[in-house]
Amino acid sequence: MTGPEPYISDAALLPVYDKVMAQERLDFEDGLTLYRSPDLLGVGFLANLVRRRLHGDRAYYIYNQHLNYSNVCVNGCRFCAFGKPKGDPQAYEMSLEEIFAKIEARLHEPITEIHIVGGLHPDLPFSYYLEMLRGIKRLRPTVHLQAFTCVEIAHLAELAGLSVADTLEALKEAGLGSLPGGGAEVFSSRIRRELCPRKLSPEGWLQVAQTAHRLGLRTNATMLYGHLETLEERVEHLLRLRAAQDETGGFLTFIPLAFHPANTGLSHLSHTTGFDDLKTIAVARLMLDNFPHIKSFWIMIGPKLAQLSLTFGADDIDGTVIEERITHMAGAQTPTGLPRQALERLIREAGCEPVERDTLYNVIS
Amino acid sequence: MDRLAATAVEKILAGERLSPMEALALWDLDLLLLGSLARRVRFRLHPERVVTFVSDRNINYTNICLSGCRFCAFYRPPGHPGGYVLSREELARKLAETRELGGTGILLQGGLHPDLPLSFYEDLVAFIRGYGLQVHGFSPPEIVFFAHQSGLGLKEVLRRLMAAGLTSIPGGGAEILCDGVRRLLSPGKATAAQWLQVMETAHRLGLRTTATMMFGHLETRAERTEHLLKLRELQDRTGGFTAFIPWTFQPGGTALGGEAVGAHEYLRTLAVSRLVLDNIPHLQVSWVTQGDKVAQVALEFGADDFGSTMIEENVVAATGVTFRLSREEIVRLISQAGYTPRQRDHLYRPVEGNIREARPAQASAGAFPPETPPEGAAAPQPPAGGERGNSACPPGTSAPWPPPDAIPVALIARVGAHRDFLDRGVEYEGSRLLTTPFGQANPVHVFRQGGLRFAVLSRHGEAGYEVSAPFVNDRANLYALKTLGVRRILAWCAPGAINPAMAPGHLVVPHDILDETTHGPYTFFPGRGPGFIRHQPVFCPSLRRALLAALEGCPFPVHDGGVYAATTGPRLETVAEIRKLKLLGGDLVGQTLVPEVFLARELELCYVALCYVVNFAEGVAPRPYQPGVLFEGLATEEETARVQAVEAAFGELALKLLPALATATEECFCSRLMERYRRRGDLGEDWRTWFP
Ligand code: SF4
Ligand code: SF4
Repeated sequence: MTGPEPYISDAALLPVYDKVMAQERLDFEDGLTLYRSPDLLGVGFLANLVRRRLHGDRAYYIYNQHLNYSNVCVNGCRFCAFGKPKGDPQAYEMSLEEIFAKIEARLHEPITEIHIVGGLHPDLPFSYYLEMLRGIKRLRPTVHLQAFTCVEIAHLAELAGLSVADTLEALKEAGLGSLPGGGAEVFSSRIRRELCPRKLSPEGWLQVAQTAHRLGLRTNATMLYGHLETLEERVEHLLRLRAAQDETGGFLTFIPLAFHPANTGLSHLSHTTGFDDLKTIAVARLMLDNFPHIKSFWIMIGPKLAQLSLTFGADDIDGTVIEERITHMAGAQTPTGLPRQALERLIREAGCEPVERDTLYNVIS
Repeated sequence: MDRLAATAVEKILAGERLSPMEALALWDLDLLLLGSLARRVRFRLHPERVVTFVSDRNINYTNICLSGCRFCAFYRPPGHPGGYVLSREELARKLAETRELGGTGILLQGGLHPDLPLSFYEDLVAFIRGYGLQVHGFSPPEIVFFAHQSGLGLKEVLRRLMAAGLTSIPGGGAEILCDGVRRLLSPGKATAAQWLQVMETAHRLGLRTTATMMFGHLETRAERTEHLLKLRELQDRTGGFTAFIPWTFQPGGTALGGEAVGAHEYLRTLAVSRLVLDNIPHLQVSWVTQGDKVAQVALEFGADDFGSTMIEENVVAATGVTFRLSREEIVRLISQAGYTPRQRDHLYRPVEGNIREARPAQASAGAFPPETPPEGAAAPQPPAGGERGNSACPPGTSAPWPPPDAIPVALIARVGAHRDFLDRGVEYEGSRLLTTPFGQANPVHVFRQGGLRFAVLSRHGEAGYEVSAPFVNDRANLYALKTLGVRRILAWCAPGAINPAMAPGHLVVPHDILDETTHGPYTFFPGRGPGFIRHQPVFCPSLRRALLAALEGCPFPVHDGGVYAATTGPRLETVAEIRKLKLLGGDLVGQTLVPEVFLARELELCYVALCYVVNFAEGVAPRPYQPGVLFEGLATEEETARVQAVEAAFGELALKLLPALATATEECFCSRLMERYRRRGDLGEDWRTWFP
């Protein structure tokens, strides 16, 4: 059944349905209509049409290792439970030896990607980062290194006194494969003034990402939702990403990140609801018509919602993560790792076919 | 989609019942389709965008259990050091806390303890009721176990627990109602047939229950379907299930182990349940097993109830799943999904102080059991105004009144009065739970005797004396009776005597009222004008004469005439007050007939009262004070024995009186009491238009 009946119960969604069927681009108003509709199943149905068109029954996951080399950060964003000022009792930084030991400890596992992010450390030298990548590559020559968000790249460029392009070139030479999507938050100057005034601006973030694309590096993009932002700001965020993608085409995956208020400067807020999580996935799938993949990060929203998201527009549920510190400091109630069988079972139960991928979505057989 | 599934979809869209094969075919439909179909059925049954929840506490009175189910992480075998039986102090603390937190009831369950007597459970229920809390307690395996242990049989055990104040029975222990699965899963527990039998017996006694299904262990989808069909079949016969609650097996810490099924399978099962169980009004989410996010999403898959703000959940918590939700959090989740949250009690009646007014009866209140045959009556048609279902439900003035199956006469009587007729084997049609513009009415039980249908309503509740005099919702009760077509009412009541000639155990047919109450509501039309009506005579003269004639030859002394002085209550009167009432001409004193009689007259009902004197009023006869007994010693044992003789004869007496009242033919003006307002155009011809 692909007709709107009985899936869509909110008549306001019917014009969007017509556009989706005609494969027309949705505009700002459509985005708001989707977000504002109480008809969660109707919105999910539309997103699922697009998701099936692009990916059929496939649902991707990756066998990766997460590495958060340091939580020392000069920015102090109010929504962050991870970053700590230098000297804070909870602050830590890993030496290169410690990092390599962590990599070595899992050498026997078929890991295809190492995912590296950290805070904005005030004084670790640029060479630390280069050495980190080189050293890991020495231990695992074929692994893909997805490392350093656009925010970290801009910070490293400043530290090294290099241009963003040169910084990226140097890192690429040391083994960098692609950039994770973090640090985009919400592209709204109002929100950023309130929550993360010191952070790289939206323009800066997009510039780093687009520079990376021009150098042949793929990157991801995120949106942190469920704090103080409005629905309009969310839709604008998506439209800016879409416009940037029209220009450089290097974005691989969009990942909505549910805000976890515990232990942040916004701990009075409630965590996101299931409705919001699924709707955000679905709206992203529908608005970002030029992004190949939409990922629901199960660490953030839990395996149950991640599983459901496969029916609401997502085609990827990230990886078999064993160690992941950022969300867990913010009190996510989800397990810290899922074995491969559990992940595959989750996907199969949702009526999808599990496909293990590498970072660039090559199928691993 | 295969042919069967396509037929199933067509039938659902047309509001028709699914055959077993069609029900089975549902499992292969895609999740979003199932969800949208289930949502559609949900809005057909409950057109308002309202999601209910109950505020209660889960109390497990013991974890000692002989059963040892393989999926249970909670129980301890007898003699185990970790076993406990909850102490009274601990219980009292929990109950007081529950009250403080705005709880209205207790979900009371426990293991199958080898040596607690039935009186332990009766006391437990009465103790909890003493805190003004409802008891939703004892799942069928517990009831079967009590029956077996006490040797009393199911019916008697249930009756005793009801007498102690049990409000309803939770549907736990159903697991999967297929003995093949049960033998592997919980061999020591009640069989499927036993589970169903407990529910049927409870329903026939007028006790409502929920039903559950625990899935995701050893069962197949076909067995899940069989489970649903068994429930549907029983519900067709009794109509006693209020809600269905499917939940997933939680393997942590259990002997069975394995993996829990995911959210996808949960939502699929929820939606299939809504589609197959076309006759069970409510479907509840299980946030305890699914977490708040999936539970919220489940509202789009057919559920209309969020369950409880459970203050404690030992059984599931023992498996390591510890989702907790506060009332505020539940309200937030419901609101953010675009629904209005509404607190309810364990009988699915709105709890006072709610966000919105209750609406007139509809499918959700439902008939118990359903009156029309189930085929073709699967669900009412969707409301006009689109599929969204957020239009207000129709106030129900389109059907004719009186209804074609009008019940001519009703008895309003003491606690659990309908049981007298059940015990006498009078043909029982079931009960109706109606929501009126004035709130929830007490259940109305419908009987049939020798071609006469009559209704029975207990003013003060069904089990304990849970609704004391000033809190009876007379307006809702009378409105409900009138809705069912009732025109004549016999009010049975138990006053004290001021006039010493009217001794305990005597019957009095009063002729007048002396209203000394201070607490209304006294009218159906506050601030609107109508109600300035004459009350001479107060009681319908035609019914009075018919009643007195029918009382000829009755074994108890009967007084024709008496002034009933009404006080507010719930307390008894002082000596000085009785002296005053006596000076004013009162013969009897009681708390029930006012404002009931005046409200009945505003609805133009013929109303007559039959009083049986239960004691002498304060100061009429000197009596020592005896703490802890009914009336604190106001009645002697000998008097009480006489009163009990009347109570024992009540059912038989009523069966003689009601036909006489139903056939009384003398003229009276009761049906024209509001005539003046009708003529002036203040009130419409159809009484149901009187209350916008
Ligand atoms: S969000 Fe990133 S930049 Fe902001 S404080 Fe946290 S680690 Fe630092
Ligand atoms: S589920 Fe109930 S009957 Fe079974 S072992 Fe646990 S407590 Fe006992």
